[in-house]
Amino acid sequence: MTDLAIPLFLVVCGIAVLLVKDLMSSIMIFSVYSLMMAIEWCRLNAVDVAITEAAVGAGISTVLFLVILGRTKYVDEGKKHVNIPALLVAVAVAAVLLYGTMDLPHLRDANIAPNTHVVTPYYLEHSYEQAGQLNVVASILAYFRGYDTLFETTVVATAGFCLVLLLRVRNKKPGTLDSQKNEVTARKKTPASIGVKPIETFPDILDQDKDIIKRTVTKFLIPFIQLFGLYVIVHGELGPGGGFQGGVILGVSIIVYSLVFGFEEAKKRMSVKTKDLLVSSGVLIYGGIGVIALFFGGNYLQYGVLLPDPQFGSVVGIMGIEIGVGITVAAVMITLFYETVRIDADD
Amino acid sequence: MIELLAKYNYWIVIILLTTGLYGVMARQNLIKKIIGLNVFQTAVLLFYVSMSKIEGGTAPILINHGHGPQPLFDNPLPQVLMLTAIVVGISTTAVALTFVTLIYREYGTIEEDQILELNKHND
Repeated sequence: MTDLAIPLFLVVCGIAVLLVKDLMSSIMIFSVYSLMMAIEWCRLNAVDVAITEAAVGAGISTVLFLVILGRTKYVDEGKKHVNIPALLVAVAVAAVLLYGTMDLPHLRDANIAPNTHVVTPYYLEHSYEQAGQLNVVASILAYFRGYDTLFETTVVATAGFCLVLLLRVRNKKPGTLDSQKNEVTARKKTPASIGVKPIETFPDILDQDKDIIKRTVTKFLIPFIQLFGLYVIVHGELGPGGGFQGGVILGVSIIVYSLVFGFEEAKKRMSVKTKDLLVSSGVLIYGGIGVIALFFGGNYLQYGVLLPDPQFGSVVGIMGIEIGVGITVAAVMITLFYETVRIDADD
Repeated sequence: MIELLAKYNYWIVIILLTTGLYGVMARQNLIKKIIGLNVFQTAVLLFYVSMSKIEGGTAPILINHGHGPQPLFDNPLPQVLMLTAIVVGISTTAVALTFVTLIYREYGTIEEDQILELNKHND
């Protein structure tokens, strides 16, 4: 029954997210939607995906949306009438997809193509013998599809760089080209003249929270969050976990600290410079292990050659790259928060 | 029950996908558009992970150190691909949200129609 109910609840949440007028409620419903999605991943036995979704979807993305909402300070004033052309396009797409599902194989069947194609049985069979990993997800991620993961990590790091480039360099000094342009715009039609109403009800995220309960509980919880994050990274070999999941959890611990104790305090624990350095050093560790393998006479990212015993060499190599992935992902998650929080803060 | 479940998740995916698509096209608020895009994205993830589930299968973690008979496992491959897609997804969402704040600083609004109107007047 839950197999039917949870997806149905997802649909309800998905529609509600777009229907509610208040942006704050919309973001909260989206958080619930992500949490339900995490439960659905568990139901589908995708445990690694569930850990990531719970930390990313319900945790970081909610915080991120709220920070941006606090920075833009606007309610959704969009007209409530139904957009007929858009609705027609959406219904047409649904109809085409529905027609497409008639040819798709039945789900939950062990004999359909995605499950019987040569690669999956090969991965399941050789995961331990070649990569030394009991968790097949980790062995595919780091061993069989190592290149894939290397570039995924690079994409995550690049997103971090994008944020830094977009937010840190603008409006550094008064009198630059940027601020002159702003003055020119100010003289012409302004937002207020076409009926834009700003609201200023959001507390500043940069400030400390004075609530003693929150401060005490956070102080108590953060070591455990970080310990769990490290456990998830190094335990990827034996059970659910790995660099992506653990890195996200580690990133969350700093974000929580910053939310409660204020940005200034958080900067003392994890400075902006350290964080910038960590973003690229994680990718460097990953790529570096690949290069070390070359020196030992193997192919790029062939961890087996690192030690005399190929299986143990793989275990060590995969541990190394999981740590690399964890560092980059954690640092980028902190970047997403730091850079968006700082928008109006400095200079 | 099994017959119903055989195509059930496909329908859910289609509804979520369409909802997200409609949100991106019809909502005027840029933050709402990005939320719509996220709903769209999770629908695609759900499509892939639904494919990986096998009736009676268990999470793909080997038992007894990989020796001896193993239980029936779900397909780990879609799970790996979607796992990384979630982390990449939040990173790209953050970039999109950054653009929203930059647009807000420039225009003072994040409503699409108002931005277009301001563009018309200020050209």
